[in-house]
Amino acid sequence: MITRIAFKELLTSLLTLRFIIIVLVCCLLVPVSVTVLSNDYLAEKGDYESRMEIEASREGGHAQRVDVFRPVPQLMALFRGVSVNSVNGIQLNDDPWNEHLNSAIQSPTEAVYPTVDLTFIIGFVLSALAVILSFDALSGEKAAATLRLLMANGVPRSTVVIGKWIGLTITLLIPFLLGMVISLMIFILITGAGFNSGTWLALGLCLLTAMIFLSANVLLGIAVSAFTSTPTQSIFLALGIWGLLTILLPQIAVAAADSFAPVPSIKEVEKNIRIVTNEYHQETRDTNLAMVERALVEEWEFSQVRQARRNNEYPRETSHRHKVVEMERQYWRKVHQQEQLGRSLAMVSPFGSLNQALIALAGTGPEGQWHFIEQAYDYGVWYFDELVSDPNRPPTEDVIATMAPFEYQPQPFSAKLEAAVWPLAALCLMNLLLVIIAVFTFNRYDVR
Amino acid sequence: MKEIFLSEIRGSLSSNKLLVAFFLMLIAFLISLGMMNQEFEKRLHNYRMSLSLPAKELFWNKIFFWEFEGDDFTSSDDATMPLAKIKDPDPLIFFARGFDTEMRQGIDFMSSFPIFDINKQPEQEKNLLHLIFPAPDLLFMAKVLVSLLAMLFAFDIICGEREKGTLKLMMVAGASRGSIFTGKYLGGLVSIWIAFTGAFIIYLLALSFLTPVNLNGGAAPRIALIYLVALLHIAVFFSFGAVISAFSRSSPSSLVMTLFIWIIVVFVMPGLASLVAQQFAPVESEDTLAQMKFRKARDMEREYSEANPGSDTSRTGAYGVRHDEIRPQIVAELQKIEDEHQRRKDLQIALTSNLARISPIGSLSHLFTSLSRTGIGDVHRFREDLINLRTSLETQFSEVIRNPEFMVLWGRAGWDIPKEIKEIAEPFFDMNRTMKFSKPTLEETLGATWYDLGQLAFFAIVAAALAFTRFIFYDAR
Repeated sequence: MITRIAFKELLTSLLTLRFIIIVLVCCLLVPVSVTVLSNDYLAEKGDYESRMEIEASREGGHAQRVDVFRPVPQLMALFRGVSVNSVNGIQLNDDPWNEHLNSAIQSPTEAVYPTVDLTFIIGFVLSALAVILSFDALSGEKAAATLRLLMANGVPRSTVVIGKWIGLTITLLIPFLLGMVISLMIFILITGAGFNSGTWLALGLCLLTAMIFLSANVLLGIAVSAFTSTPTQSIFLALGIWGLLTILLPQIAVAAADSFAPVPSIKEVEKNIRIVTNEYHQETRDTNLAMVERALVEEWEFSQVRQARRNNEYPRETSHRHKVVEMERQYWRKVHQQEQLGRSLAMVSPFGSLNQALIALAGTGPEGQWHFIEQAYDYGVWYFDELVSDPNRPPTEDVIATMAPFEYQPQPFSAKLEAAVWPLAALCLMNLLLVIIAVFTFNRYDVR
Repeated sequence: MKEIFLSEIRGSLSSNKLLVAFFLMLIAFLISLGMMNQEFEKRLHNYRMSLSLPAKELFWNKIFFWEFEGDDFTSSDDATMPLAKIKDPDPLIFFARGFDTEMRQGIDFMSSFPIFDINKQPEQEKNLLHLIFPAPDLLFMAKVLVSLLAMLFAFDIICGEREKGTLKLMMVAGASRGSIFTGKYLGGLVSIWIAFTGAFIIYLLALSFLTPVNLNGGAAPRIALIYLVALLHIAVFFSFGAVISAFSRSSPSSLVMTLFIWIIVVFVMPGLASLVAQQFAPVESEDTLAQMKFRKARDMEREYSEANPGSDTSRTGAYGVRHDEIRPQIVAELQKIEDEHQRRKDLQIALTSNLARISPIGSLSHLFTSLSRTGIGDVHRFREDLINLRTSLETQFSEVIRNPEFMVLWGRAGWDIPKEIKEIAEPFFDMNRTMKFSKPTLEETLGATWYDLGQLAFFAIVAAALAFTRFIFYDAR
C-alpha cells in the first residue's frame, strides 16, 4: 500500500507547477553555479602552482622565513565552504608570529551578493522548495475532501504518512539528481579532473547527505500539514519553522558559542608575543654585550667572538621559538574550541548539519584548515630548529639547500568522515523524529 | 474607498495578522541587533587597541627593527602593533554590513621594499563559522523576512475576497472596481507599514540604549532614509503579492506562486547575477596580483643589474630590490598593475550590480549599503584615500632617505637611534594629520543612489498598475 500511495503522490506531483519550477532550478541554477566555480577552481589551482614555482626560485634562501601552501581542494567547485576564506598559506618566520595567508579568489561583491554554490542551493533554495512541495500533503487532501475517501478504504494512517513522504521525496530527488549529473559532467569537462576513489566516496556521501537533508524538509512540510486544518495555515507555520531552523538557528548557535567560549582578540595575542620577544631580544643583547666586553678584555679572535655569539644565541632562539609557537597554538586551540562548540550547537538546525557534513567531506571546511595549520607549524618548528641546531654550522645557503621542503599530507578520508559523521547522524535523527511526529499527529487528525 | 481601506486595516488587526507580523519582525530585528552588537564590540575593541600606540614609535620599530629606549619613545613592551591606519567602525554597519570588511585595510610599513604597502588587516576573528553563518544585519532581515511578510499580506487581497464571496457583495453594493482595489491595496500596505514601523522604532531604541553605539554625526538623516527605503521595499513586494493575487483564482494557488516568486526574486536572481558576472568578467586573485608585482619588480631589477654591472647593493627585500635609482620607476609600474587589477574588479562589480538590479533586492542592497556608508562607492573612496596616503608617505620618505646627512647617520647608527636622525625625520612622523578618511555627505550618497530609488519606485508602481489592470477584468464570481 505504501508503494501505491508513494507512486500516486509521485505521479500527481509530476504534473504540477511546483515540479516544473524545481526542475528549472536544478537544471539551470546548479549547472551555472558549477560552471563558474569550476573556472574558479582552475584559477586557484594555477595560483597554487605559480606560488610553488616562485617559492622554489626565491632568491637569498630561507634563513628567516619559509612560505608553505595548501593545495586547492578538488570539490571546492561544488561545495565552496570556507575554502576562499580559510588559511591557505603560512609564512613561517624565525621571528615570532607566523603570518597566515589567504589569497584565494573572492568575488569583490561577495559581501553583498554571496557566491551561490551547491551548499547554498541545496540548503536554502531546494529546502524551501521541499517545504512548498509538501506543506499541503495532508491539509490539502482534507480541503479537497479526498482524505476521507482514502481513510474510508481502511488504509492505516502511518502508511499514508510514509507513502506521501516517500513519493514527495522521490519527486524532489529526481530533478536534484539530474542536476547533479549534469553538473558533474560540466565540472569534469571544464577542469579535466579525474577523481580518485576517496573523492568519489566523498562525493557519494555528499549526495547521500543532501538527500537525507531534503527528505527532512519534505517531512517538515508533512508534519506541519498534520498539525493544521487548512493549507494556508500549513504554509505559514511551515515557513516559519523553516526560517527559524534554516536561517536563524545556525547564526544564533554561532553567536552563543562566542559567548560561552570566548577567544581573546588576535591583537592581544600579538601583543603578548611581542612582549615575550622583546624580553628575549633584551636578554640576548645583554649577554652578547657582556660577551663582547669579555672578548675585548681577553683580546679574542673575531672567529672566537662569532662562535661565542652563536653558542649564546642558538639555544635561546630555539627555546624562544618553541615558547612563541606554543602561544600561537594556544590561541588557535581556543579558536578551534569555540568553533567546535558552535558547530555542535548548529547541529540543532538541519541546515547547520548539512553545511558541516558537506564541507567536511569536500575538504573545504574548517577541519581542512586545522589539518594544514598543524602540519605547517610542525614543519616550521622543525625547520628553524634544524637550521640552528649546531652552533658550528651556521645557516648558510648550502645548509638551507639541504633542508627538506614542506610536503602537504592531504586529509585522509577517515578524518573527513569523522568530521561529517555527527552532522550526518543528526540529520538521520531529525528524519526519524519528524516521521514519528508526523505519524503521531496524523493519528489524531480530524479528516472531516 | 475609505470604508474599504479602514475595514482592511481593521481586518488585519482582528485577524492578528498585523500583530503576528509585528512580533515576527521585532524578534528578528532584535536577534540581528544582538548578534551585530557582538561583532561591533569586538571590532571597536580591536580598533582601540590599534590606536593605542602612536605612529612614530611603530614606524621606527618597523623600519629599523630595533628596540627603543629613552625619553622619546615608549617602552618596548608597548611596541606591539604593526603600523597601520584602520578605518574606525561605523555604527551604521548595524543596518548594512555591506563592504565593511573591504575597508579594514591600512598602510603597512615594511622593513623591506616596498616600504609602504596597502595590506588587509588581520580579521578581528578567526572562527570560520562566522563566515558560514554571519551575523544577520538589518538588510538581511529586510531582504528575507520583511519581503516575505509583505507578500504574505497581499497574496489573497483579491482571490481571497472572491473565495469568501465578499468581492461580489462589494460590487453589488455599488463600489467601483477602482475604489475596491485602491482601498484594499492601501489598507493592506498601510497595515504592514504600521507593523514594520513599530518594530523599527523599538529596534532604534534598543540600538541607542542597549549598545555602545553613538548615533551622532549625521546618522539620523541616513537612518530616516533607510526607513523610507524599507517602506518602499515593502510596497514593491506587497505589489508583487497583489499581482499574483489578481492573476489567481484561489488562495492556495496564489500562495504557492507567491512563495516561488519570493524564492526566485530574493535568492535565485541575485545569486545568478553574481555568477554570471564572475563568468564574464573574471578577476584575478590578490595572490596573482602579488605574483605579477613580484615578477615585474624582479625583472626590472635584473635588467638594471645586467645593464649596469657592479651597481648591486647589499640590501635586499621582498622583491629582491637592490637599486634605489630605479625605485620610482618600479613603484610606478607596480601602481599600473594595481590600477589594471582595480579596473577589472570595478568591471565585475558594475556588471554584478547592474544584473542584480533585475531583482528589487539588487536596488535595495545598493540603497541600504550606500546609506550605511558601506557601499561600493565608499570602498572606492576609501581606497583612493589609502593610495593618496601611500603616495604622500612614499614621497616624504624618499626625501628623507635622499638626505645625505641622514644616510651617513643611519650608517653609523648602533643600538640606539641617534637624536639627529630623529630630528631629520621628524616632519615625516606627523602622520595623524594625513591619516583621515573622508566620509561621503548625504548629498553625495543620494546622488549615487537616485537610480536605485527610482527603480524601486518603478517596480512598486508598475506592479501595482498591473495588479489594478488585471483586477479590472477579474471575474468576481
